[in-house]
Amino acid sequence: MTTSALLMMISVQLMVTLVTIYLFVKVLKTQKNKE
Amino acid sequence: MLCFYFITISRSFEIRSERIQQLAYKTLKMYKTNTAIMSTNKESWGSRMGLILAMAGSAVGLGNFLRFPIQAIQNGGGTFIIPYLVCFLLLGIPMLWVEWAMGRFGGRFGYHSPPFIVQEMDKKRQFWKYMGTFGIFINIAVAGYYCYIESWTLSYAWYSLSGTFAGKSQVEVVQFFSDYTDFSKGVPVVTVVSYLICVAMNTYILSRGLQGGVEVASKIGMPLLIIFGIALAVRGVTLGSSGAPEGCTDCDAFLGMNYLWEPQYDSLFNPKVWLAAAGQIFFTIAVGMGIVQCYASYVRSKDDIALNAMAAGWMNGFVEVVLGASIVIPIAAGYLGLEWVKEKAGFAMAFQTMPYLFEQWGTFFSAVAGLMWFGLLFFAGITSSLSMGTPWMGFVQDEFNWNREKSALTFGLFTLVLGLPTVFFYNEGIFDDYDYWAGTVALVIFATAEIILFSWIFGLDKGWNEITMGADIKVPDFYRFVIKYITPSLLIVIFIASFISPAGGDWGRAFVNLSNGQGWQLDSGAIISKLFNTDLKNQLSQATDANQIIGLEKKITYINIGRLLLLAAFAFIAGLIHLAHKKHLKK
Repeated sequence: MTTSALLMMISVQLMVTLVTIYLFVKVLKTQKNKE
Repeated sequence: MLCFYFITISRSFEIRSERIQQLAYKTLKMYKTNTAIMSTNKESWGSRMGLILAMAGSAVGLGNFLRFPIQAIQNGGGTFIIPYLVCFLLLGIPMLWVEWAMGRFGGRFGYHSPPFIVQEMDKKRQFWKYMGTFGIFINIAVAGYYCYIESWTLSYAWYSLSGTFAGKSQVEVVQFFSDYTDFSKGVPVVTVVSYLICVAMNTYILSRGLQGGVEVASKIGMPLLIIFGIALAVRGVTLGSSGAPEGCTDCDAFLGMNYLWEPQYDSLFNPKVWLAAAGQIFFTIAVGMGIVQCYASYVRSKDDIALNAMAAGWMNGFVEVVLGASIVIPIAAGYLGLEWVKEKAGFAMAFQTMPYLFEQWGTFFSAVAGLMWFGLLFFAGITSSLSMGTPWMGFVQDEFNWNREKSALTFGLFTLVLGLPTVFFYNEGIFDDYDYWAGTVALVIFATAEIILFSWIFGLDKGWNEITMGADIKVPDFYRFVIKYITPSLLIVIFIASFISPAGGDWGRAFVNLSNGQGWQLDSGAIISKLFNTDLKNQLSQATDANQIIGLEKKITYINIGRLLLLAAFAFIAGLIHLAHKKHLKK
């Protein structure tokens, strides 16, 4: 793989994964606080 | 990075002005007074996570694994992700918030299906409830053929386990699929039985209700889908050239991934790429179907919708961008080569190519991989088709006080009536035609109407109040502008573009031709071309073989009959809505 393709793949996939995890953790945290 | 940027910005905005709070309390008071007219519909969600998983399950479908990577390859490789993410933030997220807000708003008045949810938002004009017909019609029509695809995944999972594909060449696997869907030599029993099982399974789960049926199925299906997806994605990205047959120089999974992710920055200036990205976002998050409103209508009035919508939307993005991009293309490139992927990559790969590729992994692993792949597609399918049942069920439970079982059973029967022609006449083009009109065009029409209703008629102040009420995240004020101007504009552009889409989607050449006086050559996929069966009629005019002529004429007839059936279904649902409206007036 070329460096540009590798960088694009890693940065996009990492970003999407981290944002998804962040949102789910936030859902769990806020829910816990409410309860 | 864009998302982090927005999240950071969101913190700096103060969304709850005193005026908006007053409006909120006033509206809440009004809702409490109105709950007296609520129906006997007692459905509710068991947990917040269950709701998010059900919503994400509704959005995650076969397109995440098959449509997204193909779209990316055809539209600039790695660069496609830039318009994709921009459209997600400007079209996807706002539409999700709008639909969640509409649903929770309607739910307060005891409405759990699109017709009366949208009507409640504009009491002056009575036509909205008929516009809401789309919110039920789309789901039943799509469920009809979607259950058929679901039944393929179910059968293929069994075939993979039982070693049916062992020793078969790629051509034989393709032929197997043709035989599976071919009704010209008699009724293939397995095909029909499998379809009936899927419809029955959906009906049964729906009859268990939201909490005991849909939510449980999503809580089981979504984690399994992700586990299967991760396992296959790991195999896809680590395959390399280990599976390359002798003499194949471009058989390398890394070449496939490189082709998928290599940025081609020129494509950023191509309107076709932006339209493709907007279309992909629009169809992947399942907006414009009425499902989101229906699910959200069971959310309690003070509960969050802003964070829930984001979580479900991003989960769909994760399945698409991370898992969907790491399975089909790398594995196909690893065994069949990059050239094959460039020429033949498409939706059909799921059933015509993947079973053959898995066979290269040996008896045991091919069975496991087949089970995981078709299991993953099955879970993606069933969590979506279940969601399609809820607008109908919400409607008949609210308006006619039917119980769950009766509502689910009638949904199953309705699905069968509309779906069986797609099963029996799959090769005559009814399946694709349903997908085009009910699964594509109708969605864009309904979503455009919804966003105009929400931003311009219901009013953005009230709408914004709905979105932010009880929100667990701070919604950036910037989105007020997006929801009012950008999202409706994008949807209108998508709609107009699909109406007059030029040949090959090449807008630049189309405008040059138009300015040169050569006219506007429509694409065969443009709404106008489809409406008049232009492509088929062109083929017919050029055909010389008698059998081919008969086949094409038969195809046009079947397609027209299928459309009449869809129109009849639409009219029937509109009639039921009219009856329900009369009942309201009597009350």
